[in-house]
Amino acid sequence: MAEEPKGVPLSELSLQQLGELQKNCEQELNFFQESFNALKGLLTRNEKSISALDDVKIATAGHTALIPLSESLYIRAELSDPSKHLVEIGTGYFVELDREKAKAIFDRKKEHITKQVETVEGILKEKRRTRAYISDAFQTKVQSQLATMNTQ
Amino acid sequence: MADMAKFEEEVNKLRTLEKDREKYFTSRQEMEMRLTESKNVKAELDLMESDSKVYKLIGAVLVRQDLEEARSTVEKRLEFIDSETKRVEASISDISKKCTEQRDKVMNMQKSFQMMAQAAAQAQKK
Repeated sequence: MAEEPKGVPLSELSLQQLGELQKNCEQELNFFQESFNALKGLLTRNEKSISALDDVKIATAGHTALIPLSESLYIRAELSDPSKHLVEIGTGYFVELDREKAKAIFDRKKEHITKQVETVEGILKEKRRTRAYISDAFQTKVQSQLATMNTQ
Repeated sequence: MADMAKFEEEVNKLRTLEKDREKYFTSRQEMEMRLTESKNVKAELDLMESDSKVYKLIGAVLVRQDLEEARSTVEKRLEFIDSETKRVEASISDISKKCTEQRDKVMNMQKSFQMMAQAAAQAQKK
């Protein structure tokens, strides 16, 4: 049976190695933080879509609305059938659905993203803990080296 | 001096290999993202009823597409991403092996330099 690889205690690493480890840990932390922020952004967008569905709920055929063509240009338009919604499902695909089915898609998306957020959140906590350990080991190493230099 | 130049050359080789490996890692990450998105699309299309109206965004235009056609397109896309992922995985394992070998080579050279330096220091003491 193959032996499990044994970890090297942080105290046995040199300052240079600890510095490298700290840099790698910081990079990983930044990556997961960016992922976390992106997922949070997706959740917000999804929530906006859900609230938009609620806004359209009260609309009737012939209802007029201002539709954005860009961030600063709107056009007045008439809703022909407010019960039908075009929902993006990914990779450039859109599906025409009624309100209930559209809401179901957004709810599934919300559940999926929330799970990912929780996963990334767990990893972030772990990485922060690791960073703290490395930082402590680095400080201890620096202080012990300074103490050695002073005694000499 | 020539030994030192050789050492520098080997270190540069190692750096190049590690950069290439990083590129493959990034590529694999992108593949995984595309795979997840395509799987989600497939799951949603599988839930659609046969009379559902499906559109594909081509440029700035939404083009009506047959549901079965959309399903088969996504299926093919999944197969393609899967085969690409396998190719990238193979490249990663290959380049990782090369990285390990090159790192060992560099470390051995470093050790021999240290031993030579120690021997020279010993000789000077005598």
